[in-house]
Amino acid sequence: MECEIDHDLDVGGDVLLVLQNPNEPFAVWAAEEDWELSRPKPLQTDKGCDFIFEDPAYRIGGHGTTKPEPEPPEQVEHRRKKRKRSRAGVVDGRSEVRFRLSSRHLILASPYFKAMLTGPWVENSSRTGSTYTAHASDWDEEALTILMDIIHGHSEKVPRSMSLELLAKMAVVVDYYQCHKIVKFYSDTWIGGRLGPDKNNLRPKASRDFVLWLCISYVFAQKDIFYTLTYHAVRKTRGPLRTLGLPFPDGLIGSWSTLGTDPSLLLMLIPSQRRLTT
Amino acid sequence: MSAVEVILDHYHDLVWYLGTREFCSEYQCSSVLLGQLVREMMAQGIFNPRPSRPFLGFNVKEAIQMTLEIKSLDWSRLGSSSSHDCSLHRFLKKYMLNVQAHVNGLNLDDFRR
Repeated sequence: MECEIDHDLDVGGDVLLVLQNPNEPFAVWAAEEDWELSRPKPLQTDKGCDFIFEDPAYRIGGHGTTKPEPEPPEQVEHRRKKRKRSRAGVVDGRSEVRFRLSSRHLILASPYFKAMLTGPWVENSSRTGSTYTAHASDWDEEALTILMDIIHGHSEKVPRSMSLELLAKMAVVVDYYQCHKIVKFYSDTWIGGRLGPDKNNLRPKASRDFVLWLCISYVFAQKDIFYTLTYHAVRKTRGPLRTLGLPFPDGLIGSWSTLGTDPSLLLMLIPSQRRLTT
Repeated sequence: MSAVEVILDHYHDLVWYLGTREFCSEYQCSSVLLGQLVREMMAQGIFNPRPSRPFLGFNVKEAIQMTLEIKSLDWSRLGSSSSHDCSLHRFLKKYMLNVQAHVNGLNLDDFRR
């Protein structure tokens, strides 16, 4: 008996991707650590630049912005087409979402899937007859669907603009499945739509937004944005930034720079669950 | 060594310098500036205990701003000649601006796989 398909990217597709536990809470910003509140005596604060650990919205935890930004119309339409979900991890009463995909498209677009589908059948996958079954977990369903639409050439379904939140979720799945090249045109469009012509003018107003943008700039190879963000971080952070479980390069994590060395890394990031010592 | 560490080290080195050397012909000059420096550092919580790595709660921008906002002394009210212009800025401002000029963003290519 054929199982129900939630997203049929290719009717004749030979890959069944099962997304388990979809829509897990994303990049959760937990309560502040002791040091963030225990500065002996605050130095003079420049009110115009207080985006690191100073936004009151983040002093009591939670991970939203102070005021949710309006979604772009295209994204609203895209969301309208999505199925109803009651809570994270459960879609229409089920705890998994199924995608029918084309192995040829996946192999061409993703080194991750190429290794999975052309090498020895490895972890999280199995083969029944002519159909491969692969498993994933925790991803945002909308982000994964958009990625698969891009990979399968359904450009008419791909939103031309999106919220910062969804953009960050896209960065996570793109990085995981190593689809940077095929997404390049879209990611440039999304980022350009959010920032306008002057990318150097990016000024995240809250710490979590800053970390999301840093991840986005890294995954989508936005050199100017990455430089601008790290410049401000070097000057203004009062301690380790949180990675929130997002993908960051090893060299950036747990590092302190020396002044005048290359790279002049004065920024330290810590994984969300542990603190690295220096 | 991070930029914050460079800045804090400079402050503590200056305490030692003002406390052990005569950089001005007037004995009271070193003494007054040393007193002002210690007061400023105590007010900012960087004198004792001396902050240590990883300097949680400090950042470069504010540390530099702290330096630039130190008041100049009115030597005429301290009984000195009106032409006396020694100040902590003489030891701090140029150094801090130099530190600030060497703070850069990061090159993404250094971190790409």
